[in-house]
Amino acid sequence: MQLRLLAIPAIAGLALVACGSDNNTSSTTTGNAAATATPSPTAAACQTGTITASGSTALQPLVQAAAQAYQTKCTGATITVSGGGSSTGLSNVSSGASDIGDSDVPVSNAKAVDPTTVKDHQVAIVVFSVIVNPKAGVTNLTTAQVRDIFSGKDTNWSQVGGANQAITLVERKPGSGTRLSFDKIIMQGTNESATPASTQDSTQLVLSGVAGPPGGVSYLAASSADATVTKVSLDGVAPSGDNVKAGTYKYFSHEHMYTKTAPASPLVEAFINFMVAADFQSTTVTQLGFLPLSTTTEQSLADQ
Amino acid sequence: MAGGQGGGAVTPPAPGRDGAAAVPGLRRRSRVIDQGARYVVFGGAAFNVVLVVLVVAFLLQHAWPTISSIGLRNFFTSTDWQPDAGISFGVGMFGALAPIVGSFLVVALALLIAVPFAIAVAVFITDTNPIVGERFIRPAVEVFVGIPSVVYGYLGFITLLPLLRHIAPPGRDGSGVLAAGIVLAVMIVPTIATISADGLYSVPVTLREGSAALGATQWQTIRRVLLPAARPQIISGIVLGFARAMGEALAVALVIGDVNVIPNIAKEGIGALLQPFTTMTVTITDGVDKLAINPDGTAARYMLAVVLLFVTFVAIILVRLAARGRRGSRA
Repeated sequence: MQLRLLAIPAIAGLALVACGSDNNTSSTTTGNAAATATPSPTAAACQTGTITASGSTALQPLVQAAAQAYQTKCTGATITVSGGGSSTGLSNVSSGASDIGDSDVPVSNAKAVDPTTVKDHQVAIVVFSVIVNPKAGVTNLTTAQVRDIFSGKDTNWSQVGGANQAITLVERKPGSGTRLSFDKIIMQGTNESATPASTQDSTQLVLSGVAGPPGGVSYLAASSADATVTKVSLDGVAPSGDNVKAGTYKYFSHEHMYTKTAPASPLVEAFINFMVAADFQSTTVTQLGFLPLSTTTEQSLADQ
Repeated sequence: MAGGQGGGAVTPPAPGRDGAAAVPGLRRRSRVIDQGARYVVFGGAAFNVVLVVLVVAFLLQHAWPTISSIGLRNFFTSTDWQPDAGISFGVGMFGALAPIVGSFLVVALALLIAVPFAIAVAVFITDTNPIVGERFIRPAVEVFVGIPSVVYGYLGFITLLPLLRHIAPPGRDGSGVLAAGIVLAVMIVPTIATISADGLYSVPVTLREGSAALGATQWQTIRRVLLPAARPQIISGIVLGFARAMGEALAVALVIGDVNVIPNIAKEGIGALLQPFTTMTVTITDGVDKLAINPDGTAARYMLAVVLLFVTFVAIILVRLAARGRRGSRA
């Protein structure tokens, strides 16, 4: 008689599997497209050795794509890439646990790391965007208005020219690199509200937190925003690579890969050189949602 | 003595000696195996105790800077929690009052919702309708015990928060103490229900029969005889549910909003339940990626872990006392 009960979850499980099977094909095809288009290093640039890179999860896909391409062409090289967050990356490279520390923020933000022992290599540019729920009725905000919204001074979208909708603030968790960049570039000394509707860190949860409640607002990397949210223009300038290049959009920052000032293995320098080479920058970097270094030489407030 | 025949003859064992008395070497070997098994079993048990002691010592050692340089008074009474401010700005703040209050508030709410439901389920399974209860309800409840907690959290995030948004104050997205309490309540009802059902089962049939013989209705029997008789088990079920709810991190993190400010109950009244809050478990998992870089903040998080451990220990001790109560008073 207990066996009969097993039929219920079994049938339900089969039904779910049958109904929900079509969603995975698109992501694998884009993944394959990125892999085939990634350039390979020239034979002369190949070094051998084993190195590790760890740190920022935002940068991790780019480093992984580069590592895969490099290892395919240079068979003597082994590059292991892991995450753990920018702070972990900085601490790892300082202690020697990793050869390369990936970080969204410059090393000056890590008091425990001596900046004279590590060397900064900037490898890509990230464009950020303030995102709002489409029902809020705004597409453009001045930086002062964004400050008022995120400090909690404004509580209704009508105060900044939007719909009559309460502002539902979704912040990042304190200590997050994205929050740090936002605070340095946009808030510039004004504190973010201590009582937001919620704090999130995963991109998916930030998107759900903004797309769910009608007055939702937050900030994230522009390439992560999807169709459920609106990317807001700052002071009339849209968050795009062209505007960063023109110098009119200031809400961006560089991605860093830190190494020891004298790395142990020549593979470290070779790998990073491969990542900053024009070939890689113009293909994989843009495919994965970053901007190539050539976009601008200007350092954003987050990196100063 | 028939042993004089030799060959396959087996003498019956002399009284007071083990069954291998017929073959002397066998007796020594089986005694050695017996002793060996005893040591192995003791070793396993001792290893567990040693492990617990080591875990407590490890946590205390890493939490020690909280006591020495941060100060326990600041830790337990201040709500200023910025453990990672030390990374960029100099001096971190380590007031953990908000997460501690949050944990207790959320778990209290969860128990308030879960206990009546769970006892009702248990009573249904054992007394109201044992046929349906045993065949359908109990297996269903036991399946729920096995569902990973992140599933509850994610379901709460997807379905419960939009519902709560309708009654939340403007500018709030529904996450908060109420959402976390509901999610936790759904998680611990199966735990409490199954243990309470076992307790109700173990009440002697004679008590039920005696009560019926005295003319009591079924509800009177349940309320005045069975529930009090099963009380030690029900209490231990509740305490185990409490421990599970106290230690839950991921399910709570998805629906509680994670804001380190104690809701102002005086100002908001019952609406305080729909303000975002935080718990000890959520605060600990928040800082996991900063462990390497911020020694003081890490020590403060270890201290939160010590508090959690201490609260769970107290709960387990209560279970032991409740269980002893049964054996003691039912002589």
